[in-house]
Amino acid sequence: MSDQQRLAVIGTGAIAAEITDAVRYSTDYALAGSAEPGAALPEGTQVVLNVARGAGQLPVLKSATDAGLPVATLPLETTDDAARAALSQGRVVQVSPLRGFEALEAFRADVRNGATGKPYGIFGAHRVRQGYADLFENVGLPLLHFAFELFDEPLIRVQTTRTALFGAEDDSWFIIARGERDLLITLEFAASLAASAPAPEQILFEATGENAVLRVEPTRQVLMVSGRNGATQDIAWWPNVAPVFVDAAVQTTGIHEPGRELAFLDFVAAVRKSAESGQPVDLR
Amino acid sequence: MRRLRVGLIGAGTIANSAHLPAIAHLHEELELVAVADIRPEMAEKAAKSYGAEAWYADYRELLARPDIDFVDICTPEFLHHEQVIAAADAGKHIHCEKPMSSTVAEADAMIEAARRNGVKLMIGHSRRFTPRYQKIRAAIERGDIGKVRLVRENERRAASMYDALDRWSGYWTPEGSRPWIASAQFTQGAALTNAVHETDLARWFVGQDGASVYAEARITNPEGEVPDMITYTITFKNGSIGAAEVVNQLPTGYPYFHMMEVFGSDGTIRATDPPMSPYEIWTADGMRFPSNFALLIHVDIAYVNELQQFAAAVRDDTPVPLSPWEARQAIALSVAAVESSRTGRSVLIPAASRPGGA
Repeated sequence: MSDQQRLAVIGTGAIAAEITDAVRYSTDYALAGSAEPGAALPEGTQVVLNVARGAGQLPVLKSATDAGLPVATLPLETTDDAARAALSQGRVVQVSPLRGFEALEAFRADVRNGATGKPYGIFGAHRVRQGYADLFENVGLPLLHFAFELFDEPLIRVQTTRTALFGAEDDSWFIIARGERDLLITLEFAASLAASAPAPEQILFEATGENAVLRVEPTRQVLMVSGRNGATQDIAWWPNVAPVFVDAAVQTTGIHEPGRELAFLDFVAAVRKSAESGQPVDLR
Repeated sequence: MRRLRVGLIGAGTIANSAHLPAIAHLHEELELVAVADIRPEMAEKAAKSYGAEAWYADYRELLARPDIDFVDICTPEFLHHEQVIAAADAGKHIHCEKPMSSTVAEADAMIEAARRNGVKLMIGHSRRFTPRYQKIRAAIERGDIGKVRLVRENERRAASMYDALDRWSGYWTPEGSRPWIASAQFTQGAALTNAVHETDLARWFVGQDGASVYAEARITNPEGEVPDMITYTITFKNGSIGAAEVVNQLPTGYPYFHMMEVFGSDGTIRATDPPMSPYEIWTADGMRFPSNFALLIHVDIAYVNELQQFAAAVRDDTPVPLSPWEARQAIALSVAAVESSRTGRSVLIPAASRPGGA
């Protein structure tokens, strides 16, 4: 019998299909099966990859916890008591889908290994096209979680400026957070790119510190084409992020720290609360 | 064309890295006649290096000379209020390095002194005269990106930036104390010393005054007393956003990288340095960008443009190309950012009416 870990992929839509394919064609893992949220877990599952969204997230955590299985889930969209209970009771880790970008994963590893020396700040931005739907869930939470995981320094204060800059709905979020050792985190996610933008999204992170500055922009991987139609950018060869995400998710299930998982929910709740008033929220 | 006679006050870092070379570049239009610095040896060295006939330890002696058409004030911001008013009262036109002042009240008094004495006052916001930013402004005015909704500029400086410029001057350092730029007695830190560039540019590109600002700041330099890193979010009166993260203590050799991005309703302008760097060197130690400061910020030509256009306004008795009111409004944003970072609260920007002639 193979010693490959057997993974179940739970979710719907394109992301679930891509993750399922990544597991199916992996030489490191075996696909126990895929299912929609609420269905029984596939037989033989050893690790659950929960890529369900919205109300589908927590039932997956419950069924996996009841079965005693570790779960890697996309960052939780709710911060209520049920979410806290799920994180407290089970072997659940949240994983940002941004970790599917190999360059971001390398950046994350370097930052966490202390490449900056004494850290000064983190800047992160994720811009998508104007009119993008469910911005907070699809873009904001992954950005927040990726940034949150870069350092272990507890946060003491967060302020959010949320506004509608490019459409009728709130489409732009600006977040400034402070750590207890003065780390400054500056995050921006916005549906700010016009329809004419050559690429559908921009992702950028910088980590600054006493010894080094690390800068990563995975979406800068483009082909410049100059021809009869003028200058264009071809982004069709952006890498498939699913295989790297699967690796990251499975590896993270081995590092279960419930306190950090709950602290992320506190961070998200504070971001949302501050967005209502524009005033900072104390996290101490 | 008559050459205008210039007196320079403050022969420190910015004078030697930018103003004095620019005046020399404009030798057909400008004549440096005197230099004043509280450090007489610095005044003498600058005067002799750039051909001035006199030097003083007391700037008031320079102001007393009847043969000076305008003064170029290159001192730290805490001195601008006193020196600009003294120069105006002496009947001298004034070009003054940014930031305009330490407070909004000081800025208002400086504008009033210039008005009262009928002299021209311009604050040297060099980026208003820098080609990359002028091109951005032109694209905005053409309507290339529609209505400006978000301006972000992140600015990065190495702790050793000025050492790397190989200039022979330095920051004024009171005996027994730290350099003024790191001293709480003399400055409020990065929000004024260089993030005022970002507050000014955001306001220029958005075309609105600020309504509120939230900021966090910190001290990273163990020798420093004032924040050398600041991150802020400005909400302008029309709802547009200006944001910046500025840090001045990056490792030695870090290039002078800026990331300017303007998001409009119909498009985006990105003028970010890493992909624009014209000269890169890769070695076993990593990558270097040797020409960044000069080539990307166009520091030399910016100061030449700035002084040349100010001199033309003096010579032709026309309005200065950059009203001191613009600099005053940038100060209003920057000091509000300081207040926010100190209180941990979002700060409202007081409304202000532009006085006639400013």
